[in-house]
Amino acid sequence: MERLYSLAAELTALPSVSGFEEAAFGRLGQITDGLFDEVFTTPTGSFVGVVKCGRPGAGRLIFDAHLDEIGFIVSQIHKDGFLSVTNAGGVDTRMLSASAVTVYGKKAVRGVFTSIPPHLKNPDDKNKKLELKSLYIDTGYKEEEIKEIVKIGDFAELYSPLFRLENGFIAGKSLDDKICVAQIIRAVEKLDKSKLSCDLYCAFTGGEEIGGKGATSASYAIDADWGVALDVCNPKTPESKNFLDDITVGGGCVISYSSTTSRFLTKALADCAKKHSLKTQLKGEPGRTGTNAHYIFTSRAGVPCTNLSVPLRYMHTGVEVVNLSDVFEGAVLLAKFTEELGDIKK
Amino acid sequence: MKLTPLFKKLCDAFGPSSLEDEVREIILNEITPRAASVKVDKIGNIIAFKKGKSARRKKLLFSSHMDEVGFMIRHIDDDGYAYFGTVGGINESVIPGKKVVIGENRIPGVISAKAIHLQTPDERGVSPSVEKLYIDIGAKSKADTLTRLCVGDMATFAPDFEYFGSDRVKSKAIDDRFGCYALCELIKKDLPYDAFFAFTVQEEEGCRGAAAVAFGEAPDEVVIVESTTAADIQGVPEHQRACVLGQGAVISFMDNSTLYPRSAIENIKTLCNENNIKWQLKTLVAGGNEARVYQTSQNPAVVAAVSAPVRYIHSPACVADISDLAEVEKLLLKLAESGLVS
Repeated sequence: MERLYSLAAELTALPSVSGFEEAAFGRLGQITDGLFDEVFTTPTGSFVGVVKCGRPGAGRLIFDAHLDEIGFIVSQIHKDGFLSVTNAGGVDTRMLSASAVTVYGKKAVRGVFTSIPPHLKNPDDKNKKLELKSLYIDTGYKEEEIKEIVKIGDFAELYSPLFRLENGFIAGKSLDDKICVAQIIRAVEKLDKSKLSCDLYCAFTGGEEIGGKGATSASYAIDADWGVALDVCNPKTPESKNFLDDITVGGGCVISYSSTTSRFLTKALADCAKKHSLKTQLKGEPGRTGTNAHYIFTSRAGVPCTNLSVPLRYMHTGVEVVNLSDVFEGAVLLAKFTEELGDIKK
Repeated sequence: MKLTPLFKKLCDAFGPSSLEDEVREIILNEITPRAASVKVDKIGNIIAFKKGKSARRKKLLFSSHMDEVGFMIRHIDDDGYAYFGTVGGINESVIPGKKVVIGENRIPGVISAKAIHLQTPDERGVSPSVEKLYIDIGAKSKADTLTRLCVGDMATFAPDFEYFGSDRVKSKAIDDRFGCYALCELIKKDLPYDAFFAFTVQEEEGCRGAAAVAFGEAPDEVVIVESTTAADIQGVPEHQRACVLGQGAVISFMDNSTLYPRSAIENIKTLCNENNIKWQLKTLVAGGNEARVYQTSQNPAVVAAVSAPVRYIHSPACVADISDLAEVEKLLLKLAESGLVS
């Protein structure tokens, strides 16, 4: 678990807003140094590490976790140095007032989202929607100073170093989906390569938050036989009801049966979890899973793909919450699943 | 201009109204060697007396509050989430998405709300009301939460003091650890005249500590050293900015609870001008501070408020300009030399 925590802490701190994933490639290469037999990147922001089984004509399995995270792109630099930003991905504006951010210009600088002072708030505005265009990033620099550092088009992301809650729960930004990048790395570290009968392609893909462009192109390049999309999913919280109430953080990773994924591969994953007594939860997803499973499945002439998710509270905020034991058991499951994949008929 | 490490230490300290112990401890350690006498009164205010070279006919007191805004746990639900109320005025828009620390053991928690994917179109962008917000500490159950905290426990935004931008600081609780810091630094200096210093409790819930000091000490002149809201942000018209970062010490002529005596205001302006101290008037009637209770006590004092302009006050990320803090410090030294009314 300590290894997972330190991986998650480092990965969540890596800058990789959708469209700017390349910024994370260098460090990701160092973190995974020695883990893969081969590494390549794609022009759409994906970093792919390959574990070869050494058998000629072996099938190819993709593990996909998206490398990008939601964030902001500087759209205007105002008088007095305040920055206007536009969103990359689904940003929840309710979380932003007086939140810290990092702006990646010539150097990384800290910023704070403005909050509207109470004396300027009209009581009638209580139910008014807060739009991103009425918030600004305050970097503490004057206009001429910030213009030396930041230009329009630079990106910014929430600043929220990972920290621990009770009982193995952890909180921070971009655990969607860096926690799954960490999970895949742990799975490969735990893999018994002597049992391997397929080649494993670990695809840390770009652009998921803006429509899966990284997974689409990486999957095309890999030309795989099977795929597992690793992502996060919404669990029970005080505001949820019905079907989400069965999914709890700490209850294990979530296997989704979906009308848009491969039934036999999903069942194989669920059976594998059962066989090794690994804690998982089931979820019925009538339509798309909202993960890269969709893009991998429809790649080329079709790739049987399923989806394993880490239950995560408060998705797309600076205080996303997951439980390390869910992530760890999921990593063990991925390793076992990979080792035993040869037994599964295509 | 450099701030001493004391400023960060004070800002990072835990001190919601009525639980100022950690702040009090820091201040006592800091000032006890330098003041002639230091006492803690029955409700937790610190009152320090600094001997100057000469006595003063009028009793001059500087006052800053030790407490900060925070949260109090009111209910723990079946899954172990802790619901709370706010202590002091916290705008609900700055609460979600933030890290907090709770209780004696400073247990970390997060305040959030359901993910954007699950919100109805009507819910998007609208801050949930405080009653609907809750703290998640990573509990397994209600019983698990109850082993770690209980109803009545208090929380604050998590400490995260940082220097940033060009000579600016960002932190929780700059209101009013800045005042506490400035008074500590003033006590450490050699002063020409005797002066009294109050570090008060429970300002954020109605200036309750200061009321006791006003009664017990009966000062003739009181200088409130505060942090005041600066709305000099993009999109706010100039006439609504109240005060501006980088423009120096803020002098109030009126706020929501006090009309300040004109003679004191004029005296402060003159002092600033004669000593090259940058100052600005608070251009908006907003907020309020301890001046009210000193002015309306059984021994009404002549009051003035000298403040640092602070953006995003009562949030986890208050922003202040170090140069303003320096101007306030310079002004306080001059006030200690000349008194509030010459």
